Amino acid sequence: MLQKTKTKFLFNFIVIFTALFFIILPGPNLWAGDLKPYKGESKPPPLSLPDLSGTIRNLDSFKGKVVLLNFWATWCPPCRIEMPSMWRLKNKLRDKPFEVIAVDMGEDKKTITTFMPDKMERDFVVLLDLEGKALKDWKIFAFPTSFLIDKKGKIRYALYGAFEWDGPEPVKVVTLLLNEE
Amino acid sequence: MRIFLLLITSSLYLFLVSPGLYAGQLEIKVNNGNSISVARLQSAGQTSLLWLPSEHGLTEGDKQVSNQLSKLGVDVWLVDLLNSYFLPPVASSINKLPDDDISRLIDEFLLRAKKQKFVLASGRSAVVLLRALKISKRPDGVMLISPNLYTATPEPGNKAIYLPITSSTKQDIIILQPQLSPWYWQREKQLKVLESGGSQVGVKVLKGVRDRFYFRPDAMASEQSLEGDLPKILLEKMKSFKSRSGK
Repeated sequence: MLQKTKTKFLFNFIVIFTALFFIILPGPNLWAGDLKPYKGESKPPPLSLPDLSGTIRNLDSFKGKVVLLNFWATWCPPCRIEMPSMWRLKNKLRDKPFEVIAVDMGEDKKTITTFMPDKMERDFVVLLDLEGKALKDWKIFAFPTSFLIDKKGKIRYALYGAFEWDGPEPVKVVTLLLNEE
Repeated sequence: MRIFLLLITSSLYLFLVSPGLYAGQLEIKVNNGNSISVARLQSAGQTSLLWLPSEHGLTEGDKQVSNQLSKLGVDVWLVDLLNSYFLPPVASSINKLPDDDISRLIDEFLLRAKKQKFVLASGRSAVVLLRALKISKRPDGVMLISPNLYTATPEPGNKAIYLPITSSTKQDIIILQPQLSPWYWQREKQLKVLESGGSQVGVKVLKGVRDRFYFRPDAMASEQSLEGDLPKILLEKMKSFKSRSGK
């Protein structure tokens, strides 16, 4: 019995120590992996939702621009972590045909505007998916989930989980998409 | 002397009838010399609940809600599932739990529990609970909090695939699904898959809270508030099973 207690203690110690090691050293482990080429149907599902002013916005109207389409919510910690990097990316590419469309899941305008800084609200196209229609059409099972859509309106890259959007790799990928005809 | 006897009798009475009066530690012998650790929070009521914590292990939130339930008259068997097998608190650990062992645990619970017998699992533990229920005797009802019954989180744009147990289960089930969750929007689909196996399923939406709300270190005010209400909600749902089955 004493041996079993000792083993349990040792096991708990190792688990806690290992967890602390991974938490303390690299900081919050909320980042996703690499941006991967999209393997699904490249023709996007429909996306037609109201923005913060109530105007209906359609994804088709963004053809000719590279779009970072992000599904998020204010209550989702990884979404909140990655959002500033999306804003920095948007600013790096300010003079390019590049848009960030942030589709909020199920929250009202007041909740979104309370959370979102004015400059982000101004630079992003924020859409409200109050009924979860786009979420179902786009088969979103994790938050955040993001898609990179090329100028022809085809989905080219996707990933779920938080991502540092202004890092060297995504900037390179978006620039390549911007340079395409 | 009379006063002394009166005090002894009153203490004994309080000990027997007061809900949530004491906890006992059980080691339930299962297969291959294994045993599963259970904290039994005894109560004088006629309802018993076997509580399987999520893949995050046995948390303070599980303990607090169980304690409150026992104070409401529910005899709670709080299972230390992962520690019993020296498994770390991650989702893949749930796949390493032997169905036969959990089935033996359920049967032991059903044998020793009181009149109304319910089982509960949270998150990924719902999978091992449903698998074990294929082998064990049948409880009066199954409650699942934020059940994760998918094979894995699908890559963006792909359909989620449900584990085969989802459509081969035939139980009386109530799902408690937080509203602030991607899974909230899949609840109708999940309900249909579960019903396709013959289960009778009800869904209770928990408004304004996220998955894991009752043990999140970053719990919002609404989540802290609902954690306090969760025991009452669970008790209400256990009563609703009785009315559904006509007991």
